[in-house]
Amino acid sequence: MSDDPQSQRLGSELSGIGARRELRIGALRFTGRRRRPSGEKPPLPRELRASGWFWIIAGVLMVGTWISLFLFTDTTNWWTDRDMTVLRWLQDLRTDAATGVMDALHSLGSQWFIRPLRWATILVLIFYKRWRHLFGLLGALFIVMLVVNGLEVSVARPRPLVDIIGPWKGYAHPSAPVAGLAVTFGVMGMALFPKGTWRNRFMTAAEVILGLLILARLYLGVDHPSDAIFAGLFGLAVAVLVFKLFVPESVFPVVNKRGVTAHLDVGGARGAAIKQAVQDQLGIKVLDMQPFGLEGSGGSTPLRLTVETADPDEPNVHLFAKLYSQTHLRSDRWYKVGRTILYGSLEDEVKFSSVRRLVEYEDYIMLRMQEAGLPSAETYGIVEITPEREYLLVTEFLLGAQEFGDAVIDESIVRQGLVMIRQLWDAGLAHRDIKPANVMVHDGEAKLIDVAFATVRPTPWRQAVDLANMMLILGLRYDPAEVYRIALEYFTPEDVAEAFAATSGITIPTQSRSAHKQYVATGEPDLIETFRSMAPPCDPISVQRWSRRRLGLTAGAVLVALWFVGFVVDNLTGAGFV
Amino acid sequence: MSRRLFALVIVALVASACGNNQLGRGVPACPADPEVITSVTGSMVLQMQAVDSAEYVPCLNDLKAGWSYEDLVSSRGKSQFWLDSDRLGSHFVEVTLAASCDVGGAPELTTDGVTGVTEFRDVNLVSSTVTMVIVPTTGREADYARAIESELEARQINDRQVFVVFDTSDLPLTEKVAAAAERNRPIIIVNEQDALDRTATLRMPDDTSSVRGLKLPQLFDRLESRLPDPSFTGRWYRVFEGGCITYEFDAEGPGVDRLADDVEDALGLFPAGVVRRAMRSAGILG
Repeated sequence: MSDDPQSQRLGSELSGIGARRELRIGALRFTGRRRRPSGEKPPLPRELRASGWFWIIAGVLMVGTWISLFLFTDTTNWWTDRDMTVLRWLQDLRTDAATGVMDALHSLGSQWFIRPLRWATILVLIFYKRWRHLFGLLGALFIVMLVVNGLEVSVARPRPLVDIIGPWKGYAHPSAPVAGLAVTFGVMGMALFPKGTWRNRFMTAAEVILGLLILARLYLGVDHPSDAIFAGLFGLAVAVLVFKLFVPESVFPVVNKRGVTAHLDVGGARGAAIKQAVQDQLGIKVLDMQPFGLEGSGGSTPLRLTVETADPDEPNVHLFAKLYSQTHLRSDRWYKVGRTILYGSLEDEVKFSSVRRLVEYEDYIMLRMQEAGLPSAETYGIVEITPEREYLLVTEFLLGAQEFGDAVIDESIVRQGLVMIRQLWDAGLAHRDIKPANVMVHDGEAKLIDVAFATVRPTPWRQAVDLANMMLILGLRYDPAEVYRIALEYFTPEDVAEAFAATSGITIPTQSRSAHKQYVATGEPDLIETFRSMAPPCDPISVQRWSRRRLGLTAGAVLVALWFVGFVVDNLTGAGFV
Repeated sequence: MSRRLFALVIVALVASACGNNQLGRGVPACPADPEVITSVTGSMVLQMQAVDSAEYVPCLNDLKAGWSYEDLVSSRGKSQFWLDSDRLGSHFVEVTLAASCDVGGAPELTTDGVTGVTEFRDVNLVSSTVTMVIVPTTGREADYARAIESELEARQINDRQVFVVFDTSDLPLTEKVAAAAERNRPIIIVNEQDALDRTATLRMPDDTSSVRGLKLPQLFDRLESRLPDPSFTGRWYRVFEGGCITYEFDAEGPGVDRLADDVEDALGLFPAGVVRRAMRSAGILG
């Protein structure tokens, strides 16, 4: 446990808070915790809003319509009769002037119109570095392309049996140009316009344009109404659903400003729910809540909570909290996929099955760190916001602490850093992300933070790499020879040799790698080589391991990359850019 | 209902939809009875729509073992599909329906075909067999010539089976060479010195000079490098009222000798004009 008296008292006395009305520990004031009675909604219940219901009903209708279009002969004939009635009626309305207008409107479905729209959107997203939106866009286009191509061939519906007076290509169902324009408008609306008035205006305009294209294609006799309407609904639905599922507005808001990282919006209903949940479940009254250090966190939404103090005259007390959601769970899974491709099967890269498991694991690791005597932030527990979907992990806030890169480094700090690694080794733990941002210094004391990636009983090379990464960040700020000398007080020369033998580009966190690059750029010798030269000779240790899973994932990643290259080349050549 | 069960239901519905007789129409199969309009697949109708003047559209009968149908790409004015083969290569024939085509200098096929269809063929067949001529200059090197024959017939050169004929006529050598060239046959000449040195002289049909003194391994290497692989390239045209079908061949490998017959069996002609008129009279077609 922490040496902090306040923390010690918290640990021993918090268990009794449920039975009391109020408890004061140091500056913190706890009021009675409240168990949510059976049947009461959670702080932030998961509820489908109007738009959610709309898209579910639209999806069910689409699937139902499609099945009735092609599953039973009677319904197929019924639809075809309806289609032909409309088409014949339109055919009777044909005039030279109207045909000229419809010919012009028909070009809305051409690649010359659709591809520039897609490329402009892609370029905007690249410019603003909104990668998640970009992948959402590519995913939606890919799904629509795949489904439309698949349906075209399997349904093999011919063109309408009327006089066709417009150009066409391929089978009729679903209408590929309409689906292409619909998904393009859909992703543009979701990726470029913030939720609200402007998006609504854009979507309305897009629907009007889509309607004109459908009208033109029906007038020219190239599509059945069911081909065009199904394609339009399908394209829009895919775009909206892909963005709602993988790029939710609440996590990845559309902000046309560079370098904005995506995090959960903690205002509105979620903010109120968090305050209520912390009050009910931890017995702490939250006065204010602000995002904190967003730029350094991709795996959660970090918050600084200002909580009620025992004495109103006392300065505010802060707690640190990390909000985890389904989105963060998915990020964690993708991160692990990336690590499996990079390293192979050496690491524990088994994915978490739920947000609850993810947050429970981090809480457990923090407790293990505390138990091992590691100077790290203390956990106050998990708060449930939405069951299985959103949880908050509340911890100690290291007020006034400086990041290692900004703090004054003396021999004491160097020693503390190395002792941390020794304690990790002795406890059978590995932090796996030792970098300047994760070592905080406060009043001459170093503390380890961000233990989410830590693991119990890690591979030996991973423990060795923790040591190398710690020596690296120490050596960047302190005399490397001294760092090596102090390291030998806690580790054998062979330990240090092994650490640097296992070190390569991919084992060093990006932040440390950049700092090292800058260090070398100032004329200093390569630190890794310096430490290697001090330690006894040791053959390089390969951290690469191959497994079927790694091969499969790597092949999958290559295929996706090739598809993207093919998509780019196809679009450039198809639109006449090349 | 759990999400998995829901997904299963959707998959089952979609799969059953794909089993509907209205679906699975991607292959332009020749209808068993062209008079029955409902037996005409969507892909056949699509071809009819692509070239709506064409009296006939191409269709598929039974494909040979190892052959597969690949794609139907139709647009207004043109429709194409391809056939693949595990032995003749992918897209070994491209079938294109258009309103008209330029047959160039392709000669007309004179045999009786489908009424109202004129056929032109301009193809180049490199057979999967090759006949070579061995010319012993005197009777004294006959044993050596027989040994070369045995060696040649025991092996395949570029996937081509070798047959050997002997030219022991009294004609002058130049005439023998000319006769072999005319029949597109390589000629191997052996004389007494060759029999002693175990060599031979080779003259390929399109060469103007001979290569002398080739040891037998050199002779086989040279034949391998000069003899083309078996192939079937070129075009057939079937021209009829309102349209033309072009069959463009690019086949390579064993099996090319029977390719023309196999393609004739596999690819049929569907009387689109008749069906179109029947549909119009039934009010189905606008």
